[in-house]
Amino acid sequence: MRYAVLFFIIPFLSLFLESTLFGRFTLRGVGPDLMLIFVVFYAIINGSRRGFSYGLFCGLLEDLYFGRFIGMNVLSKGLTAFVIGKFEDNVFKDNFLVGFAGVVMATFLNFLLMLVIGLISMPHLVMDGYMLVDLSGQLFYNGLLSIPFYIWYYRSARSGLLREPRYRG
Amino acid sequence: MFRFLKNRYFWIMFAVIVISLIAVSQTSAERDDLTIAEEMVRKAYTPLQRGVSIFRGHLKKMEVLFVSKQSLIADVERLEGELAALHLENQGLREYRHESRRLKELLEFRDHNLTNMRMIPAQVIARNPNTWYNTVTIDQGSDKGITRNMPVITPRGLVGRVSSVSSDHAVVTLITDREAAVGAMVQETRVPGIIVGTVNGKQLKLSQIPFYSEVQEGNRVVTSRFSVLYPAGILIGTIAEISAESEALTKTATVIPAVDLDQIEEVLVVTNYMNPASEWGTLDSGDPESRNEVPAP
Repeated sequence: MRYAVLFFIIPFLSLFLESTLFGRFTLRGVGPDLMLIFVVFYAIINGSRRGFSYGLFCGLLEDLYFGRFIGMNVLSKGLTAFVIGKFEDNVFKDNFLVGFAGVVMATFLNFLLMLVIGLISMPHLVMDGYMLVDLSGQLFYNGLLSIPFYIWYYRSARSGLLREPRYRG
Repeated sequence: MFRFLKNRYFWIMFAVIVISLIAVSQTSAERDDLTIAEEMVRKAYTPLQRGVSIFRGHLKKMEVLFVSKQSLIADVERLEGELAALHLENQGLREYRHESRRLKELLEFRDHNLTNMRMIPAQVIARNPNTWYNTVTIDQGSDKGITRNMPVITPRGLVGRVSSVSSDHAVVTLITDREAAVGAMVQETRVPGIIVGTVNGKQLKLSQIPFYSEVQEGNRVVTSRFSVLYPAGILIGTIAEISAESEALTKTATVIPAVDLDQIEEVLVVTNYMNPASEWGTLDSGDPESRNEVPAP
């Protein structure tokens, strides 16, 4: 059940909500990146290597849905999760601020990686101030949602649907 | 120092990065056909997104129950006023239309007016959640005769073009997408230019305006006759700001789109538009939309 939720329901629902519900409630045209939020939580709980694999999987699903630049989200989400997962052993995971800080850092890092890949692969891409507006909107939105979502995710990973084998009695 | 080279995980990550970069470059251009994996992923979402769209439609109908009578009366009065003004304008335009048709027949020009075109109405069922692309998904696809590059409009103005199609849905790239480019002109002064999307995806830029041309804020920008993909005369937006480009003999204008692309719910797909220039064989790499490398439908 845990794997069905992790690898099917969470990424699928994230993309579905982003394209329908949150598509209507944007901040200056910017919506949250729910998939990134859950990839970050997975990396914080499970470490960089497993986070990297999960990031690749979720990124691939997103890229297949978009149908262009396949590999862009694979790389950015995979590498972001790898970096965030490095903090696994050095943080108090039960503190919701860990989820918040991880998501804020990851949003920034993911943006930078997307920008680098974009500059390599899109010859017409021009950087301007609007990109920072998009980034700040997403930082705000992701940061805000990360708090309730992390509380649910952490509890679920400890004693609920997403319970880790290491926490089993 | 180079101990990491012996680490198997390092090489796995390296391989993933290289494969991903190759995949990005291979899929950066629009493709005619989706892969089976893409088709499967999208097909999994379409029924759910359509369900949400239908549910939202029902909610909207129920909203009417909670609107006050005064507000409805005010709306009806405002709409009646607008309708009367449009009737008046329509009378004048109808006269111009007949005159234009007669002159075109005399000169043996073909009539490519929008009113002669066939359109399929479609519902917007999803928006692209990613800030890097400005696309929406509509609930009509190749089953209804929709193909790639068909123009998409609303009664208020231009929306974009169909960029990929499945049997039961299609993805529309909006004109605000950073990769979009539309051959345009200022309606009042007939000054040509190219409309391009901006990074923030909310405004447009009219570039390549000759420096000494008379363009003013408030002027309307419409699709040009030289546009490859779009019928001429469709409203794109209104000029909000004009700035001179440094070290160039051209100006750039910021254009506010006529259609609120964040809120569109219904669109019309033009299915039988054939660019007159394509019949003359004059479409070449110098065309404003050559950036997209797409032929006329």
